[in-house]
Amino acid sequence: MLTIVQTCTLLGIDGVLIRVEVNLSNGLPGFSIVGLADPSIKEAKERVRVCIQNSGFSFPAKKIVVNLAPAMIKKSGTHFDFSIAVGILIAAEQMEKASSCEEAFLGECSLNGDIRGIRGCLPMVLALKTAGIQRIFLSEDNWSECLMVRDIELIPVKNLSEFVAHYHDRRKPAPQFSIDKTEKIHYSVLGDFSDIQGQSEAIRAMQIAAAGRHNALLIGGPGVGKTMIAKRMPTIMPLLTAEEQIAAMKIHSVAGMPLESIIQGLPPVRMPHHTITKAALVGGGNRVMPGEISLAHHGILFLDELPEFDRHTLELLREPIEEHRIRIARSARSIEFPSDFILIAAMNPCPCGNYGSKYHTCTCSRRERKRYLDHISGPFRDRLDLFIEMEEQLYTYEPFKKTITSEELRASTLLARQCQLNRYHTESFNSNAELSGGELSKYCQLSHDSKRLLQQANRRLRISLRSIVRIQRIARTIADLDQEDQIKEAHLLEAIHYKQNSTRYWGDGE
Amino acid sequence: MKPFIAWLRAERCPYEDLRFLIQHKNSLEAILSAPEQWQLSDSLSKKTKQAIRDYRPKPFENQLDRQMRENKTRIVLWNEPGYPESLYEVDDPPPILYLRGKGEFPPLRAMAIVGSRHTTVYGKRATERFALALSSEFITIVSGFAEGVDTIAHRSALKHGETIAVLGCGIDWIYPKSNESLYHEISNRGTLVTEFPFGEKPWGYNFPFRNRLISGLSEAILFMEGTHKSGALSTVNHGLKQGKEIYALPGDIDRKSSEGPNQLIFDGAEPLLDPEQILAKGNRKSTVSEATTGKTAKLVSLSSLENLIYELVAAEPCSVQQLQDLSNQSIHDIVSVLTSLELKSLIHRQGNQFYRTRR
Repeated sequence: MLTIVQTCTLLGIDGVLIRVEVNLSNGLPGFSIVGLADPSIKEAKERVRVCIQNSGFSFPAKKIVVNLAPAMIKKSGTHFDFSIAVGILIAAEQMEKASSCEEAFLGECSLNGDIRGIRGCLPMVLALKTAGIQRIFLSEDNWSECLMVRDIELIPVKNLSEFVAHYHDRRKPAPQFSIDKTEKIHYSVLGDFSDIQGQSEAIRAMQIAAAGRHNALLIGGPGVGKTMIAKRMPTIMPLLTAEEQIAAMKIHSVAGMPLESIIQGLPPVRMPHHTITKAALVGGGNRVMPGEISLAHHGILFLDELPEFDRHTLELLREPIEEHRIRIARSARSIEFPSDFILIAAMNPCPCGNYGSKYHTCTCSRRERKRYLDHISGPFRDRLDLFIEMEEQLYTYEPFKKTITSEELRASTLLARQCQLNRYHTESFNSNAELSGGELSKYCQLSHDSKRLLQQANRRLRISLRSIVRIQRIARTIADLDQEDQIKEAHLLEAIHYKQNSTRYWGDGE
Repeated sequence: MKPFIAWLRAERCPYEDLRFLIQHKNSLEAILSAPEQWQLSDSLSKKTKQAIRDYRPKPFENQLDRQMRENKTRIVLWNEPGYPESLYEVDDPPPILYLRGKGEFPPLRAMAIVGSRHTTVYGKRATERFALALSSEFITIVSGFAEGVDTIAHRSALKHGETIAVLGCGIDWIYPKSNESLYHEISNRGTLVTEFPFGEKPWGYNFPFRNRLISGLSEAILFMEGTHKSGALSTVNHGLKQGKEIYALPGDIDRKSSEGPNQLIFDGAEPLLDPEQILAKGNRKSTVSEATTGKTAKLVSLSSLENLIYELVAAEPCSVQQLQDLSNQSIHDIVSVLTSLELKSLIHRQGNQFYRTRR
């Protein structure tokens, strides 16, 4: 007897509908799964068998063949368990197949009969929805992450026996979980910019970065608060839009990362350690998984100790920074992950960390310093807009002056972001950081005096021509923060300041 | 009075106190006869009070007399006849000047010619030409008696006119030694002037300090040669603060020694093309400047915030954070003003985090 049920598998972060064909025939009892299934699926045999038995059903003593179609796609993951179990139960006539609508099943079987949560549930639900599925049974562990998908019936399942009972008796309502939609966003968990002592220059730069999606490099000795600042970035960024939220959640779901803060709308912050491998950073691996840059999609990628990163690893970031996506090519197929993030990098001014300090002596030689700085290549630096030097703060007995709070900063970031959305609504991009070439001259018109100012900066402060383009973008964002249509000289002057450190450290003058 | 002030100057009392005492010279008798009462005055520093107590008129007067005779020196006090009007305008005017020489002092009209100690053939030729032409028109040439441009300026001026050498040491020191013959020529036909007491060595820090007198005595400053780090630029900066006319000698753009003057021209100084040009302009200027008071007229105009930040940086090298704490301005204003001042070449970033004034 043949039964077909439906489930899904992942290719990158997108799901593909899979039909699970279960056939029971007379013959020597046996259980085999075909259809390019990897070991995690082969092991499903044991889980499914025990799960069915422990849920009060009998496992049919027949020859069972399961085919996962289309059979030419490589499949992996434990979420096939549920659909295989359901397929077997229907084929063995221990439950009836409802034919009223298209259904799919997602979940992993446990030996005691429970249906467990799986990785990547959200992208699968989205894919099934587009494939025309109307009702999805999934583990209650995954239920909350998928709630934002509309126009599809999601039924949480606790264990197999309950599921069968409800499936047969539709009058009983499915168990409901309540999620408080009006839950207040817990910014306090992330800290606040007013926790930071001093560093107003860096905070201002972070506000600019958040408003215009510019990449920034924080330079400062140990303990000046670089990490503190990066961690607080989400508190001054606009909340994710529903679209962004789904995009970010898809990636996090595939990687099996917690989703709570994204569900609240907070942009993700990723802080990979500098020993990270290339595959972990940009994505890859045997089963191609999204890397840190994709996990930071619509959020912040914070790279502490930037020069300590492997140089080749850093160079891999160049393409995603420009393209906002990463394509991972395999001989069979290539997979694309989105990676639109704000890069916040941090580094010491020299290997010992004391160069330029007021209080400590630097013990590095010129050569050591140069070698350290050379870890960051010119093309990479070129993708950074803001260079901020952070000064060491001394401990004082007095409570430090309360500085600007995240809430105040966020208010103006939001306005600036809105300016950009309005301005670029006809364009393919939506932030100042993406301005280049023709769009730059279109949206960053300068007065005669401003042009002269840039010329002076080019000559006197040895700011390279390339940097001048960057400066105009930053100035655009600063003007947006001021709610000005026209870029004023003050905006340019401020923008030059943030770009100047690059020249100071690396002597980028051309 | 003079020996008393000379004593206090030799004791390195603050100029402010000395000017205060000169102003109250009518009570000098009283001060000296009853120094105890004057100790109560809040206007004087501790150091000055101590020096007044230590003052023994007889032996010091004898010593000073001998020194003045030996060095043919005379003393001019602040707020007294013979003190140049224009020096009232400089920062912290010296309360006492030691003069030597038969030249006219204070000069009727004077212009400073300054530049680095290392000259090129071009710089030498131009310095000679301008010094000669101006001094022939009864303009006294003021300079700093150093090697190089200064020496050439003094020597050329002495050919047909007069010169004033502002020293960075006591008048009894001949520094640099190589200028010994010039020293004597100037005492014969020009004026040597210093604010430093007898016996003061030519300490390095004296020179930038005395530069304000070079510019103070002059109605215009001619900067001939020097790199962008040249010490003579400090004279130019004093001149700017005092509202003097600045001229700079244009030079080849790839010539190190012309970096300073070329930059000044770029910043708005008048290029030195012909002595006639200065004479014509100088005449016009002198009538104008009499009408307007000697208010500070900077070469570049600064906004009030720029001025505030500049003053803060000038007082002490500051980091951005310190500037914010001191000025209480918003960070984005400070940052843009800093860049603007940098563009105007008024400040630069020292080391990593600190801004300071140029030169």
